[in-house]
Amino acid sequence: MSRRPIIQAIAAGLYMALCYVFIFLPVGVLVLFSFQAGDLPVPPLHGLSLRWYAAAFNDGRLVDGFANSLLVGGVSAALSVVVGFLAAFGLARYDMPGKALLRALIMLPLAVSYLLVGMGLLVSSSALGLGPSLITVIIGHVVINMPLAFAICQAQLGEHQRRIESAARDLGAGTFRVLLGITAPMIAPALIAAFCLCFTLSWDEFLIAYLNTRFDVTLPVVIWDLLRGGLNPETNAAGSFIFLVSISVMLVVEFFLLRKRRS
Amino acid sequence: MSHLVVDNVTKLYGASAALKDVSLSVGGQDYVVLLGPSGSGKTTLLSVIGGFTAPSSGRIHIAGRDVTDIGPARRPTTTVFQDYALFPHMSVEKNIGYGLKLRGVPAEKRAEQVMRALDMVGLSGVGRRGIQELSGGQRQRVALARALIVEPEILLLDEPLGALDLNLRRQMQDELLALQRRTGRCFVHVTHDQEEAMALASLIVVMNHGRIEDAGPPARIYARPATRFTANFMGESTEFSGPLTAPGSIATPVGQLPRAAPAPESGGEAIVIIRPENIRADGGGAVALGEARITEAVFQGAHYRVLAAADSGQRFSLRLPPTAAPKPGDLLNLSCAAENLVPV
Repeated sequence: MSRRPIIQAIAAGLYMALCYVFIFLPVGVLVLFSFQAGDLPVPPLHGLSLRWYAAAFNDGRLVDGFANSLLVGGVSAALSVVVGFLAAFGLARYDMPGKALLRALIMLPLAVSYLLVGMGLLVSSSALGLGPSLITVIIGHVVINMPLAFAICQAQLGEHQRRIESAARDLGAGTFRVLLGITAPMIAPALIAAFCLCFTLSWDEFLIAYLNTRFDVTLPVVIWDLLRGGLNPETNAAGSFIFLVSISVMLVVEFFLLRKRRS
Repeated sequence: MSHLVVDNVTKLYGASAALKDVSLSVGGQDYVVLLGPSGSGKTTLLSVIGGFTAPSSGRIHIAGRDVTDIGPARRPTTTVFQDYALFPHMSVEKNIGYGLKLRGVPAEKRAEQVMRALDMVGLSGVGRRGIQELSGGQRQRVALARALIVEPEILLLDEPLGALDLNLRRQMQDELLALQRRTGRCFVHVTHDQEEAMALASLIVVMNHGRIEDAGPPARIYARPATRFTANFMGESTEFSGPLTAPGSIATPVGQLPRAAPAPESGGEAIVIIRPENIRADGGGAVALGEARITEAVFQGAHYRVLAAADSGQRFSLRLPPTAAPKPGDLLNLSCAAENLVPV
């Protein structure tokens, strides 16, 4: 009788372990072989070394891609958060006809495939004579990430926050002051979390970036280019580095969201 | 001269009316309590006075000025919200000084005034703390100081004591009263607690279904309520009803009772009420109420709360002294003074 729960617990634990191995094994292998001392990112492991990291950081294309990705991620995340926040504030605080429709339209890009967004942007920018550039990529990333920022902000603008804004108005603040001095600082943790999420999504987005760049390319596009030349631990090093940045940003998000929940 | 005048205010939400033709006139030193059950319109009225809700019709005048079209930012009122609505990202000092900052008061003068405001609400020394570090009572005081520091003509309080436990509530009641006397300002306070209303108000406004049922000093509202709703809402009472037999007299189950009021418009049935402490069981009252048997007697320290019923079915609610030691089944001979029978 008493053995049964133990067996069940072991089975459940094994199942869970398998799931996690399934999820994390590829990432683990990628990271492990970025430290490969040999020439190929495949077993056997010839020892650990940082030589491929050195190679990656000395590769002009990777460094340029890194800088471009930082720029695209930072600018597109900032724009997404500003636009998403303002949209959420407007819809949460003012009555207007067709509110549900407006909300659905804002959220719609989440359901549209990146391929469509990327192709649409390419076609429109060509039609306008702009051609592919980092600016087009930034626009594309705002299109796909703004709905997320909007949803995060919207969840934070409840009745309690509305009364706090009313208190500020009551004491003499206009809409602009309320937005900058009360609402934004009050939901700052959510704004920071939204920024970080948008940044990580932009940071490793490939399709839109690939379709809409030509000479200045972002890091995922550079890596894809490198991979076409064959397997190389340098790409593993670059991939691991991308992973490290994403994880760090996600930890920042966790920190702000957790702190929010505790207070 | 009236300080706050609410003139025929109606507020419609679609087809339903939250306020119906509400008119009210309040003095500059009054502590007004808007009292009523939930959905009675009391909070809507407060919101209309504060400028957060625009009335569908009617005007609001404050200190002789028509403020109906002025928003909350420029209205000479400030509000203490139910959940205090303190700015969570600012210190206590910054919260309190916010209104002065918006008015362009220089930092030095502001700091001085904030210090004084902190003293006034008994919070000296906590100025640099964050809002999260404060207890409920302390937050309440910060909200009061923040609203009073800009010297509003009228301070509006939306169920300010609702979130506090009983002891703290009694203590804050005393402090609110002291604060109102010290500042000499008009306070308008919303609550559904009639004890709180009686403890605080110089003027109670009883509301029900978007209308004012009764308005007056607490003693009058309690002892001589204008309507049956007010009578029931303000406390226990015994109700006698029956047809009007002659001007000033109704036939009730306990016999003819005097009713010193014009006949009700509806005609026929009329009602008088009496508060429990005004019913005498010693046979000494001028108006006989007949005999009744005790059905329930609950000891409450200073008195027994007694429920009794007569053979006619008439029920009574009264108080007996602790020395009477009443038991269910005891027979009482009840009477009262004529002036304590209140027509409603």
